[in-house]
Amino acid sequence: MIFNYSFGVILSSKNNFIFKKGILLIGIGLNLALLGYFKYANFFVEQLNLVIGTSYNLENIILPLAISFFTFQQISYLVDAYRHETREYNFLHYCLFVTFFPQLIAGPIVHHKEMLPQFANNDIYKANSKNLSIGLLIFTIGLFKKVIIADNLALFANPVFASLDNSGAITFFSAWSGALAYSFQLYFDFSGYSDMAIGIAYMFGIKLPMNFYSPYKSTSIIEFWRRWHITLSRFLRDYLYITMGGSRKGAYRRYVNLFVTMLIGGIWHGAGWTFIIWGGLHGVYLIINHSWRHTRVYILKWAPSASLIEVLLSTIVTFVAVTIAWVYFRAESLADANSLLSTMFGGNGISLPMSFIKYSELVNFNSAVSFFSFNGVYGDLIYQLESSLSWIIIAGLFVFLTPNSIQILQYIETKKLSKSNALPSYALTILVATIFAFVLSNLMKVSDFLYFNF
Amino acid sequence: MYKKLIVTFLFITTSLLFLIYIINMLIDPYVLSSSTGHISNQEIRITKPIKVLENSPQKVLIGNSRNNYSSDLIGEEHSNFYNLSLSGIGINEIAKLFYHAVYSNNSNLKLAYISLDSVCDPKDSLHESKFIDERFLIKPNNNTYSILFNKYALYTSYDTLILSIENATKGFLNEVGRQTIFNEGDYLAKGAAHALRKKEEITIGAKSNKKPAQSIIFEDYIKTCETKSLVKILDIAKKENIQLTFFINPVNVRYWEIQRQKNSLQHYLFNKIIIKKTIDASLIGAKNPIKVIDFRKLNKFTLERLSYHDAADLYYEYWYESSHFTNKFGEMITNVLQHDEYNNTAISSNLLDIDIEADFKQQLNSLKNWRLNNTDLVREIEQAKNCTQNSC
Repeated sequence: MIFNYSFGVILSSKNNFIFKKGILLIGIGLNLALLGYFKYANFFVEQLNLVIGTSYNLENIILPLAISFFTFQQISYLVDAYRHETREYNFLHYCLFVTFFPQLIAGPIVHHKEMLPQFANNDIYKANSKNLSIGLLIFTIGLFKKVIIADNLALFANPVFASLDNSGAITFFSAWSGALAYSFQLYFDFSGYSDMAIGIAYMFGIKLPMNFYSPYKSTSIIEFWRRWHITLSRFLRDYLYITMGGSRKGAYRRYVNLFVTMLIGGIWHGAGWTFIIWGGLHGVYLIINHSWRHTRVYILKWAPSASLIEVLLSTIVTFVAVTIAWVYFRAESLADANSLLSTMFGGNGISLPMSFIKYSELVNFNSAVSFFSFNGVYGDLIYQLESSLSWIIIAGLFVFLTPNSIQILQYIETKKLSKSNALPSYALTILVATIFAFVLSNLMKVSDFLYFNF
Repeated sequence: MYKKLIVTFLFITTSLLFLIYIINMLIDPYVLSSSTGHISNQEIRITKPIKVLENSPQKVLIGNSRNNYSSDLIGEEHSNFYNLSLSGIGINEIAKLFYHAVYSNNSNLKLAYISLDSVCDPKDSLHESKFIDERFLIKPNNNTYSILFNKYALYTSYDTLILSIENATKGFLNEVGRQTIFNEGDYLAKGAAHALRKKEEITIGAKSNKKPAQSIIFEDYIKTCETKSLVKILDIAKKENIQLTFFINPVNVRYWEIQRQKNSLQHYLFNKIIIKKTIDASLIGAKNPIKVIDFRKLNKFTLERLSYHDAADLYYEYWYESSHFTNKFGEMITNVLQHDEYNNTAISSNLLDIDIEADFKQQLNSLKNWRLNNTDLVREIEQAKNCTQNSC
């Protein structure tokens, strides 16, 4: 922090351009070098060993908590100082900006422009019951998402991903159960964390940027990335995609820039081929999405409509594409991910309920006898997955039919509370307090947030 | 206005949590505040490790459901003994429980009786039993009673309340940690023959959802068998000077026949050979002699006749069903363990002293004779094996 703050002060002064560019490059380089060492050194040594057949071994490197997040925040500070977009900030406020505990570990990735002016406002250092009430509400929503929904979905996602090395253990329906359960688990886990961070910060009078806006309601991948991990997308867009030229240098360069940005987004999540493929896949999705939009509007002259069928179809296609990519994001290895995806598309046959065996005589299954089996819908994983469907449906209903926490926050913020309309507020308070007590009574053991790994 | 809302919020939240706590305190579903009491099958995994921390026993018995329901030490030994067995656990969890008993703060442990019904470690975490609750091993919550704030404890309190109303005169968990009423699968209430049928349908019928094992030779079997949990137990015992007595639980002859029909009978032999090899290797440098008392034999107790067609009100003398023996048989077993009477060849022998393969051949001969003389029972098992979900 001392180093970055000092560099920021130098960069925002009126020194000559070449000197400042040098300082900026050194600053970014040192930040990335630290991140590279702690997060990626082992991966690169492993790959080097594979390529040249050596057996170099680094000691176990302990990843500093939240390094990916505070590195990005500080790089954006340096770049903006270089662009003269920063003000003269107080050092203590700067330290608070980097280490502000609610969002330190897993975001939202905050920008100095939205945080430091708030820290300079003396009002936030006084207790405010309105902020406390609204903060508690948002925090409770986040806690509910994590403890009640995400942790229960994990019970169905984990056994599927854990048993990928047992050939034949996973069947068609169990593979889809695992993939869908993980899609929803990740959303509720991560957005739950963001809500809790936003809620806690709100209690202190600090407003954090939104990080999720119902991403699974997106009708395209482009829209998905405007709604999922919004602060990361914003960082990648402002400091990587636009810096590389964005869409200013023609369609071809735009696609290359998009692909590279998403690839780096993937690597940011972790050192491994699965993250690289995940990022690359989203890069390809975005290229296809942009090309399709262009073709549709300018070549086919087919204007987008808001018909229910089109919205529904687009939402389903987007959600399935995102779910397929999440398989790479979650799997331990490429082989595991490929194996699960192959099963999801029938590569391991379809196992039906045992009671269906009687229909095998009525319908001519002979030609496909090896494709269908009758070992139960979930095959060997029946005990872990038998109630997965109901949980996936519950999660889906929350995702697709309920307002998100930002919409709730905006509604509450604009509502004026007075004695005449106090009754609904008391009713809401009792409901939220009951949910809060219910969630607390569910706390059984430590359950980390998925994004703590990144 | 907002202040009032915050006060309401805090009041409702704390009131609800305390309500849960008070109900749970009164019903005590984990038997935390007394030495005996009603307990559900699930929650015993929480109570037993805590009781070991509180009681610091000198002797423990760690086994699976067979021992959870049927093993006490008798006489004055009672006060120094605790039965740490839990249903559904395997060697991996047994090793964890042994570690817990040895390294708990005030441990007085001198002797452990440990069941080795299956010695191979699970292939992966998916096949590992999740029954044990690791939160309560060695380092329980700073305040054990904090688990009473939990909604699961509230559900358990409800179950316990029902249990205590239905069985008002019977204790479920006795003071040495034995569950005194067999409720494995909760089907004994309809009679022993019913329990027998249900258990076997689940074990070998289509409901088991398992493919029949392929016949396998020892060389292939040993490749799939890791013994790190057993080695861990042996190492800890050697290091901490704990006397070990291993044992293999008996099963009824019907269960032998089930394994035969599933092509798994040879596993009994392989298990014993692996135990002997592992322990022989570990005995070098050990201060305390180790015994492995083998009760998995065919004798007049294990040959007790059990049939699906027996009357509903008939309860067997030595068996709840084919794989779980009654406390009466359990007392005979613990008597052998307790008094080193393992050379009582009627029911046991020390595995380390005998020719395992010759002994197993002898058992197979007994099984063959039994099959010839009990064709009706053999047929029952075959039918159970072929039953489908609907026909069972």
